[in-house]
Amino acid sequence: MNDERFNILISEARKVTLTEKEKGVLFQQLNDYLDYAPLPSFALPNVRGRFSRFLNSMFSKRLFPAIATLLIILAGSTSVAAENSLPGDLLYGVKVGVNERLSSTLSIGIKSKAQNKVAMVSTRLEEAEKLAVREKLTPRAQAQLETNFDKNINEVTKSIATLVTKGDFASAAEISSELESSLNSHYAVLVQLSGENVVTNENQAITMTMISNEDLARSLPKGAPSDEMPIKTAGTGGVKSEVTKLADSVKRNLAETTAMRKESQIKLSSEDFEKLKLSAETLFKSTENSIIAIDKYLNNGTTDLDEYIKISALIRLDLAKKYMALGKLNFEGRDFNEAFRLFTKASRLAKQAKLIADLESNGEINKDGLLKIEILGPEDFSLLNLNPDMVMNSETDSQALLKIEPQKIENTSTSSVNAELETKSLI
Amino acid sequence: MRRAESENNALKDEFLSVYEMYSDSLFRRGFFKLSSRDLAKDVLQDTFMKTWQYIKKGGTINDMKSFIYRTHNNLIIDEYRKKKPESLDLLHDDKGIDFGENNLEALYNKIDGEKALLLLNKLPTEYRDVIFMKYVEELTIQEIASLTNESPNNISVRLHRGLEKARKLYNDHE
Repeated sequence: MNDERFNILISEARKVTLTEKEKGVLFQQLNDYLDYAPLPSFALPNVRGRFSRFLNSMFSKRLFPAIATLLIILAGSTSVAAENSLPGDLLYGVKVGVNERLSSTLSIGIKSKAQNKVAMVSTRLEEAEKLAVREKLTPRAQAQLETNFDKNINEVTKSIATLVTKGDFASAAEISSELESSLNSHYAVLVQLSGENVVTNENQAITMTMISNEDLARSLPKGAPSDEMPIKTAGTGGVKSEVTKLADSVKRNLAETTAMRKESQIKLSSEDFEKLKLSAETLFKSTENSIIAIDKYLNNGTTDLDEYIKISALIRLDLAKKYMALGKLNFEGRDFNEAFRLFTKASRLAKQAKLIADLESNGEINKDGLLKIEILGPEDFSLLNLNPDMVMNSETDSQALLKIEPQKIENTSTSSVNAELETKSLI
Repeated sequence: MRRAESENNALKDEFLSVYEMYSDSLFRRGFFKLSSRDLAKDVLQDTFMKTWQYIKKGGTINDMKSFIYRTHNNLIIDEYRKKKPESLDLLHDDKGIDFGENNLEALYNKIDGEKALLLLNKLPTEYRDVIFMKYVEELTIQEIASLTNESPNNISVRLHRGLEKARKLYNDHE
């Protein structure tokens, strides 16, 4: 036989596969069907055994003890390896189906579980950003991401609704605020990656994106030759249009989350005096702890952060501290409602600071362009003692603002606010 | 209640992992047997939906891979019954597809995945499947034996003879 020809035939035959798009669509259809037809609860314990048998059947029983030991070792390393996997990777199912489910199971209480889900939403968006930068945001990966993103968002939304039903408006506002913070930061990044100029923030005022092709090229992984990763233009399909779709979805969810947060805050304001006081105190404590932890992280000599990214994160942390100080003043003036609002804002800013630093430290996305994405509002600029007029819709002025800030932070704000936080205690 | 929901979700994810693992292979198999992408996709989906329904009804599965491949096989047979004249298998069983020497050469020259499968389909029926399962799907002899309900020894013999046939078939067109 002409072995070479036969081998070519076989290797070509093996190439017949579903396209990425077909895979995405079929996966989604099956996923929907499984949701539509869940297993009856009485059958679950037995079914679990059946799946185990599927695994057992892959191995010889004689080798079981040795294989079991190997599996235990591999399971640990697989689980760790899966943490960095992305949609489309072999281990992604382990990350979403095992690691995240386990972490969710270990969380106790609605609030804690909801916080866990907020982290998952953030993870989904980080995954999208990484895939977009690598030009690997295929329709299949997009479908997988969207499914998981929607699922995680729905879970958080359900939890918030449950907290509201139970009358825990403070926790509902806190979770909404966390989700809002995460969506806000990621929306900014996605907009940058989609190459579009979009104006957004909760105050609809000063935000802007001024991303040039050069900026986007800089956002690609360091060392990657640019001609190997052609930048497709927005609106012509490909990765960018997928990113734009995702950014739109994030924007919609962001608007809904902001509305939920405001609604919870309004409901909270109608609470009795003591309840409001307790909510504000609790939020103060948790935000204070977050700020201290993030401050340590950002100012840790071993944390290798890009200077501009660090500045961008420090600006938000500095603002968070200022809002904490303002909140305390209101608390002392017994305006617990306003104190709660300000602590919520502080918490949100602190989390944004951490998110920005985390995105950079992942090493996947160079956030050079982030400097030109401001997510601060007029209230923030007034607190920074800066004239909002100076932040014009231009790249240069935006950069100028960020260049002013480090000096401010180093010389005055951070240390003074730190001191204030340390010396004054609410309780 | 919540625990049941969580358990169900975990099983659903495991099931979807199984789908991810075998979807390409089963699709290729469906295409090989039915020579239609759309039919191959339909059969692939039906395979997993029917397997899930089977689990839901309390059915026992000792070997998931064998079970899925067997279900897939049965669904392909159902398709043959429905679409008799269009089935490549039945065409071969009946009188075979005559590529003609020139056409075959044209296929060799412009070989791609789908054409390669058509060429493999030119092998006699009794050898075609085992050659496909062994070399394209890379199943073990034990797995092929389990799927076809035959002894491993029979499969080995058939593979050996199938390769001889393939040698003759391809040499004839040299």
